This record gives sequence, structure tokens and C-alpha cells, in this order.
Amino acid sequence: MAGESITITDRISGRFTTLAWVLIPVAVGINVVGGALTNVLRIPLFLDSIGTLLLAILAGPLVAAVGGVLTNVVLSVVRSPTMLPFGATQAAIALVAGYLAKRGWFLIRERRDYLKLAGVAVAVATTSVLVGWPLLVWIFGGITGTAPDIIVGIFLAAGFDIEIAALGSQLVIEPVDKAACVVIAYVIATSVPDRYRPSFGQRILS
Amino acid sequence: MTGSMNAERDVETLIEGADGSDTLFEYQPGSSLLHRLNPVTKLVCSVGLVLIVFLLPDFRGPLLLSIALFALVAAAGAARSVGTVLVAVGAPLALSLILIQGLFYPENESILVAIGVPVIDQLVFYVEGVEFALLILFRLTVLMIALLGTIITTHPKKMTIALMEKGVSNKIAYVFMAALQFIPQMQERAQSILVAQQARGLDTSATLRQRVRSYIALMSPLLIGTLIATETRALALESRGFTRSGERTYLLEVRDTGFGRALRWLTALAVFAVAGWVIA
Amino acid sequence: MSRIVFENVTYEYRTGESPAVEDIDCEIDSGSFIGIAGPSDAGKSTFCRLVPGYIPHYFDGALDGRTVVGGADIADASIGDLAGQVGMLFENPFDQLTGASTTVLEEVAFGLENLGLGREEIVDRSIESLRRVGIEELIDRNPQRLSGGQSQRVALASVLAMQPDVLVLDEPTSQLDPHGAEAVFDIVANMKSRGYTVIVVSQRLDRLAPHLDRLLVMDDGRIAHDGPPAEVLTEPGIEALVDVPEAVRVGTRLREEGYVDPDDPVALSVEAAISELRPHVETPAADGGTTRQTKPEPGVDESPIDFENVRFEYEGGVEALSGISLSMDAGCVCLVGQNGAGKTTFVKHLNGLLDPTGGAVRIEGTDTRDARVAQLAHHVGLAFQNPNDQLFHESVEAEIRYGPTNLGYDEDRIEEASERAIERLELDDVREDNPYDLGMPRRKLVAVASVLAMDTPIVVLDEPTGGQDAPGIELLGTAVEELVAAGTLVVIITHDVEFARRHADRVIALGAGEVLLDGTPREVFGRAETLAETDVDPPVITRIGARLGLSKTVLSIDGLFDRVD
Repeated sequence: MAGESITITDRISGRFTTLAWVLIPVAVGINVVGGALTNVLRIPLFLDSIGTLLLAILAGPLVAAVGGVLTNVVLSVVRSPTMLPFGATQAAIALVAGYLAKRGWFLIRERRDYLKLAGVAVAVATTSVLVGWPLLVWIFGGITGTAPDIIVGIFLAAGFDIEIAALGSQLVIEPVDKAACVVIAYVIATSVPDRYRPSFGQRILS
Repeated sequence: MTGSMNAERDVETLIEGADGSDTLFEYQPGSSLLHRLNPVTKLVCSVGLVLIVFLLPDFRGPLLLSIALFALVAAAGAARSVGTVLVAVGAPLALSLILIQGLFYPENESILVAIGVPVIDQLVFYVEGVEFALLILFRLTVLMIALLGTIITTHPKKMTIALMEKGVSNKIAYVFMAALQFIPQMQERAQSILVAQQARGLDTSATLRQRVRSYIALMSPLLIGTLIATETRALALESRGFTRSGERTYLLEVRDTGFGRALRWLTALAVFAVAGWVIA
Repeated sequence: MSRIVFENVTYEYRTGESPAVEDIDCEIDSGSFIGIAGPSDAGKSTFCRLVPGYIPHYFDGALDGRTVVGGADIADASIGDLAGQVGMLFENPFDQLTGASTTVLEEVAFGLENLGLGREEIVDRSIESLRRVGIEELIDRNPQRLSGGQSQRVALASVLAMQPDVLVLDEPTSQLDPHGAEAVFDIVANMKSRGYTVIVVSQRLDRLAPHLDRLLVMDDGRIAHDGPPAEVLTEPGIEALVDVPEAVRVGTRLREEGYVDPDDPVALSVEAAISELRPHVETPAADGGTTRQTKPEPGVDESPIDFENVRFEYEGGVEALSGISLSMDAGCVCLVGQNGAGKTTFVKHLNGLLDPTGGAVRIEGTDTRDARVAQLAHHVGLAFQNPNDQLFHESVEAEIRYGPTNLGYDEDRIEEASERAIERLELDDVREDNPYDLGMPRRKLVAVASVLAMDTPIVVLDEPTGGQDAPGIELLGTAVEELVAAGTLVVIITHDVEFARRHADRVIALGAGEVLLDGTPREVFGRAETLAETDVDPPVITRIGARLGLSKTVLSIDGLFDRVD
């Protein structure tokens, strides 16, 4: 009937503030709504990691990783459980972006600082491919029942292995999409006035 | 004693029977075996079954398990809801898998069927490719039926309480419930922002460059608005003991039975047995 | 018992530029009912945040002085500990819900679960709290699907369940419609008799003042006035800081003109004002119907707005507009009516956000079905209720230029229109600021300015005065009059009948998707029974006139005093 007072998850996440906990569902919502909005505006990208990246910038890598995993847990409830495995990609992106945020890569003061942002985009895109690729191969055999399957088909027809075919489809889609997510998340995060930024985000962006 | 038991049952009926038509979770009330199992038992069994089918190297095992699981879910009255997702997600997946792997799977050798087609002469489907496609397909089918069955027969509130009783933090339980509930709210706000920006001349049918700008014009207020709200929400939560350490009680009691415990051990054993058999 | 003492409290937020409150020295007795009023950014919310310990425990900033609740310094207790003593109700009815409950019962029980109480006690306390705020029947509803007024009451029940003895309410009704506000006020007024110490911040003193033991008026971070409401509300210069209730204005005038002994304390309630007036008003036999409903003259050639038998049905078969025919030509037209009467649906037809399912809407001759929303934006500027749905630029100036830039105006016109909007709503001093660094009332003015800058011949404002402070309402009134004088057609959707009384040339009352009344303010507000069908009360002064049996509908204090002798 009564819960333990100190739990395992409490020990891992003991440092999270109440504000961080409240931000996590918000990030999940932004991921989902942001992904859906691409249909309304007919933007040919997924843009379904913006909430995760915003959380990485505003609240740090660990909070964002929880938000990333939770996004796919929730998606597996409301859409399809086959989306569950890619929670690992979201978490990995969160950790990388959050770590780079801590190291000051989102701090842009002069023109050449935009190179840092480009660096983040490259790192996030690479992470996404490196984590998504084995999941795609091991769990799905390269095929997910969506448009990128065509690319996999072309690679296979040309005689490549499933591994190479899956990598090919990841490379065509993910880098552009994730780079766009990074840039958009940065622009949106800077539009948040200082007083509404969580204290982590205040240090990251100013 | 009887008084409190009744009150308890009333609370359970009230929460489970509440109108969920506006919400995202797919819970369907009922009293089948699946409904009565402890949610954690259902989760453990689902994960165990998923591990097993991913260990099995041949499509027949996953196929049999899919059929058995579907029967179980159907007995719980969830055939329709599970079936809808299975068809919506599974059909394009099946088509894509069989077409691409059947035709181009790298280890294809033995011809299953050759279909004459104009222009490119004929399409040859191979045994190896189709079997591989079916293996992946039924593995994913087991994943979908097991998890959907769990979701549909478990009220999310009960799921979180069961998890908290097994040591998951109340904060994790909170973010799960809140995320489920926030999505429709945020979709509505996104809609009102879209309307407000259109009234200021934002054009959703402009060039791609402008549409990307519009994307930011819609997402920024959404984020800022929710950040303002989170300040109030964090304060309200703190005032209601969210971060308090010490004993917590829950509005509902989620029972765990000896049968459930046995089932969880059995699942764990089965996973190890299959792993041993596959490696050997 | 929880006596509250502020000892020389000064607080500055980390992101602030000056102290939010300064030298607050004040004692609040246990069991008293305190009102706090004053312009936005005067420090009212900061004052509130001190009592439950949100400052210093949650907000970052520099605190000087002590706040003592029930004998203990708030700095020594956590927010969670203080919650058993002080309950806080926030302005936004939805943000303060946990967001994690599927039923109202779970929502109210959330705090009790965290306290580790027995299951039976949790249920009993939750039900008792819901009963106190009169919404026991909502117990199995989804909290995310309630109206603002219901939601605010659920939040209050959740606070009461924690059994505090001090209640702090920060603008609890400013985001509610009159109906919801009424219900919340009734409960709050009751709290004192139940032994709670109550601190309420509100701009709507009309309802609040008669119940108060004491009224504090804050200005610029300090307590500018402090005393019984009858005294505070008659002090010189008070009108610049708060919206003085009509009853008090009447009482003051009666004393100034010598009808009542100036040493008698001024009446705070409408009832008391009527009793004071009654001996001095002659009530002639009714001299015929001066309040006659006029048919709007048929559109001369081409009206800017023309509705021809407009019907609108939402998917699912709910008919929101059932055959509306009218045209609007010029001036300030106010639309009144209860929530669900069709006001918002009506507004969305004005710029093509919704197309009629029957009949036709023509805006400056263009059928809305033939044009995209972005094209109609050249004719109609529409400012919605919630400024947070629109604003996203880094500065007020950039925000205001967004609309005209979207419309493709040349730089000169953008510059001219934006500057005029900035000037009209007095935003020059904050043009470089981020809109979200301004308080809600000022931010709302930015949203209105950003629409005015689009320089459209038709301007539509949805609830512009909701949550606005007294100076803001004044400013909006002036802006509307100027626009009308310059030939702009201004359409205002509002619950604020006082604003309509002062500024409307024409009032349209909608009810159940139909036009109930359409005429001058005098004509419409004179028909109290018809207005009641759509839950609209005439302005206070009009009601006073009607209660005194005056034959002519009065719309102003001057009009009322014409009948006094």
C-alpha cells in the first residue's frame, strides 16, 4: 500500500528540481505536436526531436534523456508500440546535445560562433545515425513500413547487405532532419525571455 | 471494514468508469483475466515474450505466439482495438517487408514464386527473403499485441500505482501521466496559435522557406506559453507535497497475487531457457 | 492561528531591474479578509508569493526583511511544510492543476496521497473539499475538460484538502467569464465565516469590496493605501490606481452634492447605494417605451461586414450560428453574450478562419469562401484573447512590425503604422523589451498594438479588457475612440458591459447562435430580461437606475444624477 520513500529512480534523478519534472511532459508534448505540425505546413521533415533538444538546452542532458525516452513510451501508447525502440535514439541525442550545451556550444556571441551550432548539428545527426542504424537492422531488418523503405529497397536491389542498405537510408534522412531540429530548437530557445528560462538554460544561452 | 471496502471499490469504479473519450489512452474497462492481472506482471510478461521472439531464429515460433496472444487479447474483449493498430501499422510493414526482402534479400537463393509482369519481365520472390520478412513481421506483431494488450486492459492510473509499489519514483509516474494528458492540450493550443498567427497574416501556403519561418512562429509561442504555465504548475506541485520524502499512499489498491508472482518467475525462466537453447 | 507579519520586506528578482516590493511593513490578523488592488507590476503577486514561502524558496532573488506566518519565519520552512498552513490559488485556472489526473477525485487527492494519509481519509477529505466549493458532482470528470470556473473551483478544492488556515488568492477570477467569476467570488466570500484568513488580489472590486475587512492598494512595490475599503476607496487620487466600484462613485457623489452626510462611511454594495439614493429620486409614472429595439438599417450599398443568413455547424452537428443576418458599417460595435452563445464562432467568420456552412459572409465585398485567411488579413485585423498565442519576437517593436510585414507593406507604411500603434497604446518606453518581460495586462496591449499596426479598415478585438488593470482599460478606451474617429470599424467581443456602456455605438447580444438584441447601448442594456437569457447583466449604473424605477435607461452616473433631487 505504501511506497518506499527512497527509490532507485529517486537516487538517479534526485538532482532534478520540480521545475525539471514539470518540463519533461512539456518536451514530450512539443516533440509530438512539432512532428504533427510538419503536416499542416507541409514541411518534408519529421522534426520530432525538437522538444528533446529544447529540454537539453534548457534543463540539461539527464532531464532531456528522460524526456526523450518518455516521448517514445507515450508514442507507443498512443500510436504504436513499434515506436518504443527509437526512444534510445532520442535519449542519445539528448545526452549529446545536453553535454555540448554544458560545454558552451550553444553560446553564440559573434558570427563565427555559428560554427559551434553547426558542430552540434553534426554531432547530433551522427549520434542519431549511429544509434538508429543498429536498431533499424536488428529489430526491423531495415524495413519500417514508411517512405524510407524505398531507399533500403534500392540499396538491396543493387546488391548491398541489409546493414549497408539501412545505413544508406539513415544517411539520406537523419542528418538533414536532425540538423534542422538543432537549428530550430536553438532559435526557439533563444526566443524564450530570460525570466522564463530554467536556471540551466540561463547559463547555457547567456 | 465492509464500509471501507465498499468505498474502495467505489473509487475504483469511479476512476475506471470515468469518461475517457477525450483522452489519448486506449483503456477499456473489463473483468477478464488480463484485466485482473497486476500491471507489472503484464509488463514483465510482455517484455519476456518480446525477448523470446527476438531470440527465436525462425518465423514459426513468433507466428504461433502471435496467434496465441491475439486469442488471449480477444478473450479480454480487446480484439478490435488491438486489431485496428495491427492493421494500420502491420499492413504497410508487411507489404514493404515481403516486397523488398522477398525480392532483394541478400541471401535469396530458392525461388518461391515468379510473377510475370509487363516491362520488367517478371518478379521473383525467394523463400529465404519471404521467411526473413515473416520472421521480422511476427516478432513485431508479438511486440505490438503484447504491449497493446497490456495498455488496453490497464488503466494508466493503476499502471503508475503498481509501478510505484515496485519502487518506481512517484515523479516518473507523474511525468508519464502528465505527458499522456498534455498532448491533446498542446495540440489544442497549437491550433489556437495557428489561428491567431493566420489572423496576423501568416500564410500556410507560401514558399518552403516562409513555411519553415511559420513553423517557428507557431512553436515559439507554444513553448513560451507552456514555460509560463510550468512555473505555476511547479509551485502548485510543491505545495501539494510532490517532493516530500516519506511514505506515500495511493487512492487505489493494486493487488499482487501469488499467481502473478509465479507468472513473472516463469517468464524469466522461459527467457533464459530459450536463450540457452538458441545458443546451444 | 496564523497571524502574518511582514517586517520591512524588500525583494528583487534576479532578472529584475528594481525591487518588486520595497519596505513592506504590515500585519494581517488571523481570521481577517484582506483585499489587495493596484496597477499591474505594483508588486501584488510578489506580496502573495511571500506568504506560502515561494519567495525565497522557489524564486531566485534578493530578500531583505522577514515574513512571519503563525510565529515562524517562512525562510525556515519548506514550501511543502508551509502548505499545511497557507494555501495558494493562482490566476490561471488550468496551469495549477497537476495535469496528471484522469478524474477530479485524483486531482484533489494528489496532495493527500503525498502526505501518506489513509485511503479512507483521502477519499473523505477530498469529497468534503469538493462539497465546500460546491462541485461534488464533477468528481468523475476529467479535470482537463472543465470550464475555467469549474477548473478554478477544483484547484481551490485541492488547496482546501490540505487544510490550510490562510488562503492567498492571486487574481482568482481575472481569467473567468462573469458566470465563473461569480461562483468563485461567492465561495471566497464564504471562506471568512469558516475561519480562514483570506488574502485576495483582484481588479474587480465591485463584488469584493463589500466583504473586505481591509483593502491594501499597492503602487510601485509599496503599500500606498491601507484601511477599511470605504475609506481607501474615497481617498483622493485612488482612481488612478484602482477601478473604483460604481456603488462607491454614486455614494461619493451623493456626499459631494450634499444629499448624504459626508461623515457617513460610503456605501460599498449596490444594495446600500440604492437605499441611499431612493429618498432623492422621484419615480414618475412610466412615460412610454423609450427602450425600443431598432432594426439595423439594411446595408447601404456595401457594408464593410455583411452577414447574410449565416449558419455554422461544427463537425458532429453542433449548430453554433443559426441564421445571422446583419451588417456593420462604422463605429464601435460590441458583441455580448454568454460563453457558447456563438461569439467566438462569429469572430472566426470575420476573417475566414471558419467558412459558413450556410449563407454568406462578405468582408468589404469579398465572399470569405473565395479568399484565404492571409488575404482577408488585409481587411480585418483580429486580436485574440490570449496574447501568449501570438507573441514570439524578442522585442515589442519587432512583434508589432510582424503583422504589417506579413501583409507586404512597403517600409514607410510599416514604419508609420507600427509607430502609430506604439504611440496609441503607450508602448514607447518598452519598445526594446521582450513582450514576455511585461506583465499580462501590458502584454495584452502589445498583442492589440500588433494587430492595429496591420492598418486594416476593420479591427476585431476579443476580450481586450479581460485581466486588464484600470489604466490599461482607460488606454484601450481611448484607442478605440481614436480608431472610430479615424473611420475604422471596431468590433469588440466582450463580457465587460462597463466598457461597452462607455465606448460602444452599437451593442449586439448573441444567445444560442442567434441575435437576441441589436441596437444602441441604451436600447440593449434597457432590456434586462432579454439579456438574462444569455447570462448578461446590464452595467451596474443601469441596474441601479432600473431598480429605482427610472423610466429612462441610464448609462452614466451623470445620467443618474439628472434624476436626483
